Amino acid sequence: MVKDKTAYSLTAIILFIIIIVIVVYHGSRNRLVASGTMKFTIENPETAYDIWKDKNVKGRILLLFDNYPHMRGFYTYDGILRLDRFNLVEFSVFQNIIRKIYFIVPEQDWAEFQQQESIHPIRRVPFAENACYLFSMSGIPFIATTPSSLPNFAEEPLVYVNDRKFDYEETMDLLARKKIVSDIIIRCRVREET
Amino acid sequence: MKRNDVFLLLALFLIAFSLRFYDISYPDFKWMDEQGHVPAAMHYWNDGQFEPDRWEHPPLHHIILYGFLQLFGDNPYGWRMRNVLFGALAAVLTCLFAWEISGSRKTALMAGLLLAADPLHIVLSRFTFGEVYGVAIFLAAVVLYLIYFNTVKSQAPTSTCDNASGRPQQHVGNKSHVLFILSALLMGCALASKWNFVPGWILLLCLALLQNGNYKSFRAALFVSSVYFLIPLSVYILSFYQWFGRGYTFGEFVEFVTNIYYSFQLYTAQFYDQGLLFLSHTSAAEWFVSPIVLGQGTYLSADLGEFVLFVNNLPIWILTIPSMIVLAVVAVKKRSMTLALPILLFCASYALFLSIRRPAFLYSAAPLLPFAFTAIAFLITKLSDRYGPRLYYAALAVTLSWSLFLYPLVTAKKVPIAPYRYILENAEVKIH
Repeated sequence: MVKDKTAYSLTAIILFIIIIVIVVYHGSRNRLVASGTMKFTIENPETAYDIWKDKNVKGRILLLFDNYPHMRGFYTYDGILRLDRFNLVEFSVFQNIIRKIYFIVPEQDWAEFQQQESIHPIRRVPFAENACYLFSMSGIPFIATTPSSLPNFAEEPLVYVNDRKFDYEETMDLLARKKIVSDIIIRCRVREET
Repeated sequence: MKRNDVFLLLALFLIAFSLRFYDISYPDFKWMDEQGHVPAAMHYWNDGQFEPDRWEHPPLHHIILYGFLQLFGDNPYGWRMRNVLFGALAAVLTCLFAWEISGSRKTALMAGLLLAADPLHIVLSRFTFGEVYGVAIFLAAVVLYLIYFNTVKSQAPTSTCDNASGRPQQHVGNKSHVLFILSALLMGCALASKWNFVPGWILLLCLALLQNGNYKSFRAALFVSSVYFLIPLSVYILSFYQWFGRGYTFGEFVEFVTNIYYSFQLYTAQFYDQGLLFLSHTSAAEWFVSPIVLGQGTYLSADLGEFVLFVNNLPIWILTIPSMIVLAVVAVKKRSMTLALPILLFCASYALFLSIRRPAFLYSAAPLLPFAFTAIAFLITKLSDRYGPRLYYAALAVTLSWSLFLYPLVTAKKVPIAPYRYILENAEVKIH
């Protein structure tokens, strides 16, 4: 009886470990990075999706140096979801190109940003001075943070910079200082409607 | 189990199934949450995405619904057969649960029939509500758990028999551990369908450690905790397999689950669409003490109408608290943990709904019903033991007649208004 119980206990522990290994492997298999570092300048936000698709990237973190992204949720679409200039981020989430978003808020705007009623913060990010998780309809981990609170990344994130909102050169300096390496950096030069 | 008992369970299943299945293809469009649940099942299976359903609920319901959509197609049968089957199974499992608790066929039959004919459970079983399959799976886990511990006790030479049935002791080998493992697997499935079952899971884990002094022996404690903690957790994690396929790491899984907890805290009444039917009653404290009737309907003429109503069947539900008190007194007198189990499971689940900040809508009462009906059936059986068997049959006839009287009113059948006028006049019904 005792031997049986020990065998069942060990089986349960091994099963637990195997399942974690399986799901972690499944996740890592679906994170696709482009080789080298490529920089693109675009005039329409939706072109960024074509670049990501063309370079076959998948399951990625996005550093979004831009205005508040449209994350309205599937309910707001009538029928099939189509890419337009206002839903680049959301569309890319649904296509499994993006799995997590770091939405960068300029340091000087952080206090004002937190007062906005539309952002729905879920909780603070532990061990980060200016960072919080925001609610989204898709449930994607969606972190608003300031440049100074950007963490170090164990992987290469995608970078999207709206140069009307953030100075492109300063953003590149920030990435260099934070030792953040990206395979695809996109600079959007067009004035975006919000 | 004797052949007659098997027929009894089969008959109960057929009654429960018929009440849930009859005219299931009506309405032939996706109603209420079905509009979100059905596409979300496809999205989750294909891409690991939760939308347009809420992302806070664990994803096993998407996987099961996807299976039924493959089996029956994208039509009312595909959308609803999952709940019809699990709803009917829940009645049989309630019967088995009450049987294990009381050892009485009469108590078991009454508990099973009360759930089979309960108007709220029937309505929830005819659409895609998440409470129905979760309850059935949770009940299956509890029944196997009970059978396992009753078997272990009957094997232990020094233990006193806690099984109220006083059945002859059976010799069961070490293979009986398989029952405990199966119970753990099913518990994992319940957790992977709703977080509502977390208190019941923790309770059963603690009781398993206390049973036969398991916590005193390292190997026994390791067995109980590894099986009943890690296996449910493994199933829960595995249900997110498609979600991991979006590229997520295990650290991000922990981050995601933590976000779910915090996101639930944001759900106040203002967070919902203000046209939502259930917003008129948001307190769990009302469920067993005051009448709640809400839903949608259409008046086809001055004296004919068609309604889908969510009701707490108060003439029966109001017996819950007194029955729980009686059962508690008997459990204490007999020093029986088995008899106390329905009360503990009821209290653990109910305490969650009474204490949470988010609104507790009426449909969330469904997981409590098997334990409530077990207690009510126990009370009526005890009273009939004292005052004669006619009381049992009279109570059974009255409760079932009342539930069946409500059946056409709550399940979108064309009903004459006159006999239901009092209920409709005191209901919160959105008329279309």
